[in-house]
Amino acid sequence: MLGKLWKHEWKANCRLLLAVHLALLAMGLVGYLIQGILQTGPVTSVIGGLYILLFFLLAAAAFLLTHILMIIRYYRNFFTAEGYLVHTLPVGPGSKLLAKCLNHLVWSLINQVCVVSAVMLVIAAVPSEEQMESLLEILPEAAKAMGFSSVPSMLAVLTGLILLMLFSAILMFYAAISLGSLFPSHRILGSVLCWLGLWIANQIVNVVMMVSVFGPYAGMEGTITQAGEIQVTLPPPQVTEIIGTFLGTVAAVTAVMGAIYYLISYFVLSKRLNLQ
Amino acid sequence: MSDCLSCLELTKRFGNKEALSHVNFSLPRGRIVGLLGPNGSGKTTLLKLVSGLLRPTEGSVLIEGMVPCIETKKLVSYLPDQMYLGDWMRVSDIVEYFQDFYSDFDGNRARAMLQALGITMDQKIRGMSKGTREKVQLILVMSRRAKLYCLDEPIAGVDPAARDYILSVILDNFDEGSTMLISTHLIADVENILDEVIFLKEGRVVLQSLVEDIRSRQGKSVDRLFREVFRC
Repeated sequence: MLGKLWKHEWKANCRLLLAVHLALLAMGLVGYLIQGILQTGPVTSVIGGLYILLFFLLAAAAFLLTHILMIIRYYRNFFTAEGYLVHTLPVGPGSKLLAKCLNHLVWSLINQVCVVSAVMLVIAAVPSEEQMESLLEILPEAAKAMGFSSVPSMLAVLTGLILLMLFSAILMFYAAISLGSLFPSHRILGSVLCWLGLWIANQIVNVVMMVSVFGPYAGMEGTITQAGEIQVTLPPPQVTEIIGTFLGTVAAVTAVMGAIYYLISYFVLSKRLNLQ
Repeated sequence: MSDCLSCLELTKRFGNKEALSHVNFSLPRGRIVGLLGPNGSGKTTLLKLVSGLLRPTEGSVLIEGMVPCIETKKLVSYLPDQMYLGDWMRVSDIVEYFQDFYSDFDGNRARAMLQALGITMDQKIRGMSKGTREKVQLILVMSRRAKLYCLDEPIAGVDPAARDYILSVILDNFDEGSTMLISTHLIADVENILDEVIFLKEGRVVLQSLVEDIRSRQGKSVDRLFREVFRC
């Protein structure tokens, strides 16, 4: 059933989002093709400036549209009249929730890839052979400094961490909307307030996490600046240890917070649903 | 053989308001039952409880002996009193949607009924009138070969010709092994298709009777009796 839910979710979202992202890539391509003539004179420079402005407006619109559309669809599908169709399907709330989250995650990634690709086209930042060679030299050093045995393992862990953080952020939005549906009226305002509450709770957890990870090292040959940065002088093995502990802690905390947000939405959908 | 639908001391409260209070009744298979009552009597709440959209505060509701769950949603075909189809959808999208999730959905029947109304598969819901959208929703619900059909105000808000059409669809597609529960306050229009009626007043069942018994014993129509019971 998850596959069918995914299919219909994808179908509902791709009409508009595909068009916007293709337009963004096309705009990037246009920028790449015309950049040679944009610096030739004052008039073309103005046109170039306008083009850049439009490009970044389109990139911002693509980003906002992706997330806002997903969030609105979650609300409409689950907590308005469309919920009469969705919640009478012979499918559990977990599957419905997962289909939405995965769809949102995939579109977030598509959005990021398209934005980065379009920007690279506009600024003609396709890496040269020399730049690629330098990058390939730096990566193993970076992996070693961070305590990874190889570059692929470093990339896999960092990619997994980014996906986990993105997933958790999506679940936080959905949990806020689910909690907002429990308000007798002004549910959208309720959802915004709930999101603020969850965000504050998230920040508190992050601060506690940072203190627990970096706290033991704060007294060692260093200072804590007013900005909260810890400047220490440590031998390399301890730096590796700190980074490893930090990444592990971030992953664990993000996973736990994501699980809590998921359970909040699951509870509301299965036990407290009240369509009006 | 278990009843199709059973309610035992079924109660639903929203805060301090009691929408349903100790509702008890059972419905066998093969009946078309009218759930009748004025606005705010608890009809929609009852249908939502049967469809699994709400959970009881007290008591229980059983469909074919099961509490509302994923399995009962395979048996219950629910038509709400609201438009639940996405504006952006085409008729083909929604037919495919029902086909994917309901194994008892008869796509050929749905397409035939839609075609008879002159509705094409590529038509968007957004471009349809209110009456046409309601007909599409009804056709989808009645194209399932469900054990229990729950129709919430299927003829409210549509013109008399559309009402006749809706009632004919209900009768033509009703399976004698199924049960149909139709909630309405437009008694005169549906009386002739009903086998049994349940009167709801302020969340309580005040009458459950076969239509034939009302006519023969009380010598009056269901509509007449309704007006007497719910006189303001």
